[in-house]
Amino acid sequence: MIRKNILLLTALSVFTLISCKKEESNFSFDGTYIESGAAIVVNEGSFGSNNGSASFISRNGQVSNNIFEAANGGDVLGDVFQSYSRVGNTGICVVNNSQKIVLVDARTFKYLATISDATKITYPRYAVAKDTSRLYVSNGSGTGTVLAIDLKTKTIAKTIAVGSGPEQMAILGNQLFVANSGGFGVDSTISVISLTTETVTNTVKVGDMPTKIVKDAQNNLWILCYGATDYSNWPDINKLTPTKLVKLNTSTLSVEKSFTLVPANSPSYNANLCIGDAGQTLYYSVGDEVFAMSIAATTLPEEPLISGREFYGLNANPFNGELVATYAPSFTQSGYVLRYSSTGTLRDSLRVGIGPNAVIFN
Amino acid sequence: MLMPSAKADTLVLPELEVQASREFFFVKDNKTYRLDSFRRQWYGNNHLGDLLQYSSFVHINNYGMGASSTFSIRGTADDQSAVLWNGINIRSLSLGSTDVSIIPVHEQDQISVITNSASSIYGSGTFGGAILINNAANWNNRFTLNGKYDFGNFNSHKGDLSLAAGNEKIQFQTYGTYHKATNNFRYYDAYKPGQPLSVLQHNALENLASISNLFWRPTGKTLIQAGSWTQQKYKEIPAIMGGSPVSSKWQEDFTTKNYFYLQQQTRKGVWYNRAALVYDRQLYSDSLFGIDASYAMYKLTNSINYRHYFKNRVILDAGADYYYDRAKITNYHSIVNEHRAGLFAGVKYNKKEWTFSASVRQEIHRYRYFRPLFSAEIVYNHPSGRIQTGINYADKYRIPDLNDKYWQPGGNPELRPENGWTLEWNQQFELLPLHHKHQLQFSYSGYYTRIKDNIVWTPLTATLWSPRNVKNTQHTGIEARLSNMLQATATIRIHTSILYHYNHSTVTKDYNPLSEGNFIRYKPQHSLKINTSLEDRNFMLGFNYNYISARFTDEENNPFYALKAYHLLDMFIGFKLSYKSFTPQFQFQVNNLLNTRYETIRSYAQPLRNFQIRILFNYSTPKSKKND
Repeated sequence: MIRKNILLLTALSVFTLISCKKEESNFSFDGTYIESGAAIVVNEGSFGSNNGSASFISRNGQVSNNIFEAANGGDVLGDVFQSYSRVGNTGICVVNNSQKIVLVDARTFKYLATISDATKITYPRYAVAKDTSRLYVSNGSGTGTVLAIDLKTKTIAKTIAVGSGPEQMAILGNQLFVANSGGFGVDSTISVISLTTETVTNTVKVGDMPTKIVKDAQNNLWILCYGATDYSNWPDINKLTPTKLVKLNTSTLSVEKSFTLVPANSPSYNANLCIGDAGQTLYYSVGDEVFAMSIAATTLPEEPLISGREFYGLNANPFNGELVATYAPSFTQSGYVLRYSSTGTLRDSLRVGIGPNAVIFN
Repeated sequence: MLMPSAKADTLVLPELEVQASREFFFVKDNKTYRLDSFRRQWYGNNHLGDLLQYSSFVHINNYGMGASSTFSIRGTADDQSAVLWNGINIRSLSLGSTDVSIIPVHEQDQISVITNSASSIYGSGTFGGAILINNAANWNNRFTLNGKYDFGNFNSHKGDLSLAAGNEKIQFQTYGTYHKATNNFRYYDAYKPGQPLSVLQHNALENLASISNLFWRPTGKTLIQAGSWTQQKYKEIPAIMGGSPVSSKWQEDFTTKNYFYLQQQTRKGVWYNRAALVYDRQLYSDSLFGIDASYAMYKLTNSINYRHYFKNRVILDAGADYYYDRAKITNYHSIVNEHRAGLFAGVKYNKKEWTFSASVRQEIHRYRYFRPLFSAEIVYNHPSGRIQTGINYADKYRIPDLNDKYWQPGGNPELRPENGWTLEWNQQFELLPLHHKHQLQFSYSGYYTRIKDNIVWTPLTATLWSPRNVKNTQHTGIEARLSNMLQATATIRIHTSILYHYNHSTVTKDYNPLSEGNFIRYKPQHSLKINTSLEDRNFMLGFNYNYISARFTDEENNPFYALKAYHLLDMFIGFKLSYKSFTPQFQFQVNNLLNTRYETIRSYAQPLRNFQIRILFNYSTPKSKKND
């Protein structure tokens, strides 16, 4: 019965999305993709198919898909476009299964360079820039590293060993915080790296499988710990240890708050975390519900802001407070970006590339 | 044709029909394409996939040189057509498809492509058709020894040895092959800026196989046949294009297939009994992703049928199949055991130029009721023997694979079988008479296939996928073939065949409405294959041309992700000597003469121009005259 309901829900979701979607046909490129309130959508593509792509959403909701291909004579970005970030006018595209970092002109998406080193870039995930000359890339599905990349020479200057399966990172002051998810194993730590020495100075235990990390208005970090696969019921591995939302005090390097979002032994689901309202409000999703929570809250909210849809990615538009979520019906068809008001009212849905996992605002 | 004998109560059974197994018996009056020995000699060098790619309407998708290959007949999916070795369906129980890259081909094999393959005859999974690989005894053979050594680019070394010996009562055939190659070929990386010339790494293979068959006819009415096929293949799996060339993936396949076959002729009919045991084991490893997956599967098949020849030109064939499948796969909850059976009956009637046949099958399976499956065919042969016309209808179905039902997480034991039907029309013309110095044949087939309830893995949640019966497809097309043989002089013969296939395979219903009406992924609309060869007593020269039109690779037919059309041209040249019973040959083959950059599966590199040199010998002792 539950399965039937989920099927029905999925089908309804797809039909609803299609019925209210906007097409890309009315988009006209005005010479730059760097625009306040506009965003780049990271479309992973289907694994093994080299069809990861970038979409552009203008501030008034016009969509242009395959912008890298369009700007580069049909050349493709690569296999599993994992993440995008921008430093100055340079766009950083981390292409996971192609084991490379592609640099583009963020204004035009014209190709600039590829950073690849098969011995070091094995499983790249996310990139954060200290400045226009230093980039840090989390890397590894098992043994994890952070690669310090010299953007001038486009070479790997240093490899910093961290925990297993490093995912998202955040820079606060002169420190880099790395969420060690465990990758295909289990980890539950945050590595703290001094950007002066580029060495790990601390390791802080949080919850199992920390993946998402955001910075609040008080310069503390909130970490979504997804929960690790529980192998104790093998071969039934569709169960997780608790999902937690953890606040890390970056001054004391201690866990200041820890909320259990989902208790142990719940079936597998998707979870996301982002921050909006100038760093004052956290948005997190668990399964098909999205919640909003003040960073000052001492208890979890009871009522969801949005319900009925399970999202692959979640972000808040810093320019107008909108909440944007990505929906990937499957990895062989187009995905969607859904735009909600800050109170959770659906405004529209935009058809983008295959497997959108994030919307990155300029 | 039935041959009434002098005695009123007995019939002389036609030998060719008696020898035909059920799989052949119901299609032999209509269009069946058998791959000739010439093609087998040149393209059977690597595997069945290579052979079919160049010399049949079958479309091959492969993951690069030496890597696994799947096949598609008439735009259907790789698990919607079957490969049968001496009547045994050798598809993977877990995936449902057959990797044709691990099937060796030898001159002893008879290879046929059957397109009007009714499920009532062949069982599950023949929407597109079936490829039959059969071994038959040559009762005139006394002793034959064949050897072949093939070496070529990419450190490829392959050796074959085959032996056939016996007399008119007993024949034994054995064949062994060993192939080792690094396959580190050059290619242009279409997924990197500037498409740089690159060298594929981590693509080595090692393949060892042996196939043996024993044929014994203790009396003129009894045939006993037993065979065994054992094979081990190790294959490194390279990285896809566009990224780092480093890969840590590899796969190892082991299989042993064994069968026993008994054919007993009675006064008015024939009994056929076949038993087979197949064991498949596969290991797949990817240290980057921490994957070490294994599967082991046993398949036991039993089949019995009786064919009765009535006096009034009616032939009745009825019997039963029994299957037992046992699978131990890392991601299944436990060891899976499945039993199923099928009852079938068929009738064939000949009257002058007309042949009618019909069949019905009832599948018996514990988990679900299957409706009876029917097929019917009418064939007309013009009295001149130069025109044949046929039309047939066949119900078809496909039982879900074990992965579909048992994979954890996501497996869905409530899946319905895929079901559908095919209507086919075909005609064949002998434009110039047979047994003449110039033979010209033209044939064409038109087909329409509908498949309902295609099984597709779809997401239930963002992290949980499960298979569902959510897709309907239809497949329409025309296959046309023109074959020409010209005996230019007493020793010089020129062969040319042209194969054109138009296929229109589309999705008619899907859980994703945006894919409805679109072309099915990886199915070309047009393909053209031209084979031409000139053969003299001691010399051969030939060219093969292959055109495959563009193919979409995603459900929404995004042109950015489509694969471009490509043209391939191969050339081969050979020299042959004869000294008494000893025949050595030397062959030189150039593959991809035009240095075409192409892909059959998105992101997987294919080799540029490459060479093969082959040395062969044959020693045979003909049947002695006193035995004639």
